[in-house]
Amino acid sequence: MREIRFHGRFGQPVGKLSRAIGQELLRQGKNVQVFDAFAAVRPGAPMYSILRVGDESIRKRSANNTSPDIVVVLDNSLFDVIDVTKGIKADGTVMALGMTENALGDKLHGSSFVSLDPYFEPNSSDVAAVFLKVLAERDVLVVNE
Amino acid sequence: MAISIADLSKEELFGQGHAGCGGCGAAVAGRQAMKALGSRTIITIPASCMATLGGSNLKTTWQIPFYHTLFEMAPAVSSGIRAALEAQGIEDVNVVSWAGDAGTADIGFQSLTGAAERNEHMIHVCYDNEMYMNTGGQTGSQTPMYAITSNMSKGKAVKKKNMLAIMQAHEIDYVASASIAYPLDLIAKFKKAAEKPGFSYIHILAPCHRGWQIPAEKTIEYARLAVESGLFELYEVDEGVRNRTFEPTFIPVADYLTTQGRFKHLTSEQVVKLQKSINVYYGRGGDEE
Amino acid sequence: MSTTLLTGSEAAAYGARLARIEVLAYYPITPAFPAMERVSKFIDDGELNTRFVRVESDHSALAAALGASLAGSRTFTVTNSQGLLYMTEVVYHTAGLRQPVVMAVANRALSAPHSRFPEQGDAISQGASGWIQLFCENNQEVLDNMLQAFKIAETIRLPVMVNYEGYIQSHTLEEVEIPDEEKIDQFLPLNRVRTLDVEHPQGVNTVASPEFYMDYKFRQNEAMEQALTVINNVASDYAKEFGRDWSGLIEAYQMDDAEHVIVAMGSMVSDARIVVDELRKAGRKVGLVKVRAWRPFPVEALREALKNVQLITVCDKNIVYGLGGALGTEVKSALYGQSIRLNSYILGLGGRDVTTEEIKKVLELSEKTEQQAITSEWFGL
Repeated sequence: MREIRFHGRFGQPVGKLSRAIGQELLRQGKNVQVFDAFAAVRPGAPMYSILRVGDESIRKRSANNTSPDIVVVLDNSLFDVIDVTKGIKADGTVMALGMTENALGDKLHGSSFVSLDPYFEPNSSDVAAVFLKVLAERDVLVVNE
Repeated sequence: MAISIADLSKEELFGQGHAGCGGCGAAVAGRQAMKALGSRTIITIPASCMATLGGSNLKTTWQIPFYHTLFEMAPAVSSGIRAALEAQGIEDVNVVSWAGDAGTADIGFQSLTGAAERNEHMIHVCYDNEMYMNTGGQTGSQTPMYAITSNMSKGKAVKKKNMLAIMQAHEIDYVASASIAYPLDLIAKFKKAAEKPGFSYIHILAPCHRGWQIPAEKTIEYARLAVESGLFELYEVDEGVRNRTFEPTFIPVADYLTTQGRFKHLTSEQVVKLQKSINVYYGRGGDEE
Repeated sequence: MSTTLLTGSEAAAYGARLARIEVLAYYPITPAFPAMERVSKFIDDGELNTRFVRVESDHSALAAALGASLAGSRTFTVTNSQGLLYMTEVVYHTAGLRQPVVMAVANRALSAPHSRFPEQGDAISQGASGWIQLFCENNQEVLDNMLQAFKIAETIRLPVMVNYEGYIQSHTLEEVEIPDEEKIDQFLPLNRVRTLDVEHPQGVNTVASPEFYMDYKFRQNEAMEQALTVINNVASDYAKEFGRDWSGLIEAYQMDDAEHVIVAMGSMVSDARIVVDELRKAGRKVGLVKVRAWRPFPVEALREALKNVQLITVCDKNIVYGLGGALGTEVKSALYGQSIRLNSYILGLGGRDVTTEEIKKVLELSEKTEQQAITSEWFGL
């Protein structure tokens, strides 16, 4: 089972993206669990959405203390507001667009960083497809329990 | 529109063998209403004298489906019954919730205002004896000012809440007051209500001789005096059009009040004040002073 | 038959849709409202021929559902926490009138202090109400239990609550297989009983004197006892028809030679399975008993399932003040006379996370406790 956490702000299509990816993974025959952070938040407040994917039914329920393999940051202003690496696995990876590892410095808390820039073409319409491609290349979807 | 007693069904759908007190105004109201509603009626009655006097253990006086509901929910239950009948394609059944003044104006008000706002296809009846008689006669919102009750020995200090005006404000299909002393007027109003596609509210003044401290055989008489004095107006608001259905002769209100045990302590100033307010309401000036 | 991603709320709504409910009544509350909105959408889209009674309160929601049921229609409502408490008077009344109303409950903590997050305390508060209560482990079970709930309710003439946790299930998407409508129609034909019927008038809930009241209550409780069999039968019929076996009253998981057993219900069962699998891999003789039917409480089934174990650890997401966790208390009572060590723990109240690591810690603590615990221990403070 792999866990991906998407960080953004309420009002941005964070859950929409995790659901779209979840639907695609379901189509590919994976088992999927998707949920947004349990909270009532006002527009603009930091929020996250969790995607769990595996080859067997997902039994893990833990919601507040998640331990992602991948953290995807969709709004770079969040790096200054919250610790996006909270709970991330030791070999976990942070992904973001328009950022460099150097610029992030100790905000990564030692996690490895992947810039999403090379994967996005201008006006790329299917964001979910781009992410799936990245996640596949990063072996996130190769499940070996 | 004119109905005569001779036209009424001989069938008694409620009342034979009921367990109410002799001279019970509520039971009289039930019998009269059923003459208009007929056998294809489902009635829900929340906690009240009316709920208990209609049946106990394996016996009931009701010849129609009768459900004794919890105190505050009869209009909601009736809404569900109507929905179920619609779902099953049953169209020719009257759905009635029948509550006392508490089950209507006080503890039952939330579900009543909800059902009225939804303009549910049903009739809600308030049989108003102006106090909580099923628990021994305590003061409620329908208790008139000054009336002595079992828990307010010095009389009520504030006015009776005007439920008819409140229900009229819901802009429902039909609102009417009625009195057990005017059975043909009451029956005509139930017949009208039963024809409406939406919500109807009928408020019946139904004296309780025990609470009012009047002789049991004078229940109807006091119901009539309340109307004749102008204190309880008989009228209807039919799809927004208001019409007084009986013109009172304006007997002095003192004739209605001072012989009731619950009002025996009224001062002449208080009686004069009440008489004045009636006069003002009917535009009769101060000539009755 | 199709598999799709559904939240627990949507699974409950699909269950109501497949059951072809005739009357729906609800009053919005968090986190149950998405289930309500979904059923309303089915109606608005013409996919479900159902009358919706848009009541003004939770109390009236169950009152309207009850009225519709008395008039012979299949009815459904949804609520949780404060809404469930507000309708409590009608909850007991509905059971006393033996009406087969089905209610989905998106379990949420009770105020005070105010919380909108998951916990089982709301359902537990209704433990003496006379409703059958099923707890669901995942969203597939929510949908399947909805359909079984109508079957159970109409078979034994008792109302049924289908419990799933707020957010953890109500707002979480999982793959759910939706059975074919035709097969459900065969499994769940409407058994229409009109209690309020102008063709056959009768008085309902007339005053019962001491001469009668107790006998009504005896019959009501007798039906609850018969429900123990009905729940098992319906689960096995459903398994035959649809291939998913939820095992009736309880499910024994890895119990063959188990020495230390977790007992839990609801979403924690899901995490407990992970723990059991991991500990089994490490050679530990650990098992799990999932309590699916909380009411009627499966005393005999539990005594049988737990008779050969050495240590029981009960996990409760609820607290009965001054007593302890409800499930822990009931399991202890069920095992009276058997000398099995039993410790019960309270965890995860008001949305506090319960991770698999924490369940492992609870098991370690339980093993270290020499004596059987008298009251429930709090974990995760």
